[in-house]
Amino acid sequence: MTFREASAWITLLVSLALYGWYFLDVGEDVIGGGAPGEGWMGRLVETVIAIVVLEIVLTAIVAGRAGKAAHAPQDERERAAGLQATAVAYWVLLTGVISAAVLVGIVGGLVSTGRMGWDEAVFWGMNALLLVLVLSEAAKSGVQIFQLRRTA
Amino acid sequence: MAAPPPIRNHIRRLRFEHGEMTQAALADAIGMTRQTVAAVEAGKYAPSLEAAFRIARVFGRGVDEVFWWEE
Repeated sequence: MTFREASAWITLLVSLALYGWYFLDVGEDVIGGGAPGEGWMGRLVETVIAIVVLEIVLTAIVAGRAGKAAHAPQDERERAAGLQATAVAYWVLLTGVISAAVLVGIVGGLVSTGRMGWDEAVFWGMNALLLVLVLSEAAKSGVQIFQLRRTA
Repeated sequence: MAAPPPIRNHIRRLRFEHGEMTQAALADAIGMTRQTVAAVEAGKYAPSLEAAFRIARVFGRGVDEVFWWEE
């Protein structure tokens, strides 16, 4: 496995595991129509910090084992895999942002009619956008891994 | 996903004829990873025209002596 493939695996698995834990955790509060629990913003910050730290540590370990290959520029096969992954991630992001915009519109309507508070509206808007970013990043890493393995 | 084009090559034989050159040595000579050289050699990845020229130059051959399109 090349350094770039290992790096993509780290991004994919760490993101899915930790964001998955976060969404399950905050999701428990709102499933069934409940209000979001207090402190979800704090849990989100903790999750992001954990992801950044874990990715840096794991990537440093993999880079140490890869030696000089970790510092070598991407070759054309790796660049092609990256471009194809970015193209797929773009469509996931575009579709997700449009969906999130629709959700924000619905939430805005609920707030304006007094059926939802601002705190809850912020919760839904921010988490919808976060989910879109996570799915887009997961799609990018997943397609990159698929392309690198398909041509190896 | 589209299958790779039917581009075949003599890289394995040419490496053997050039002092049993390793895939890693060829990769270093043309600025690619060993995995990419292995993929080209196995016909799983079709190299760019530039990469094909670089590979052929390492062996002192023309591109058409290294690669061919299998009908």
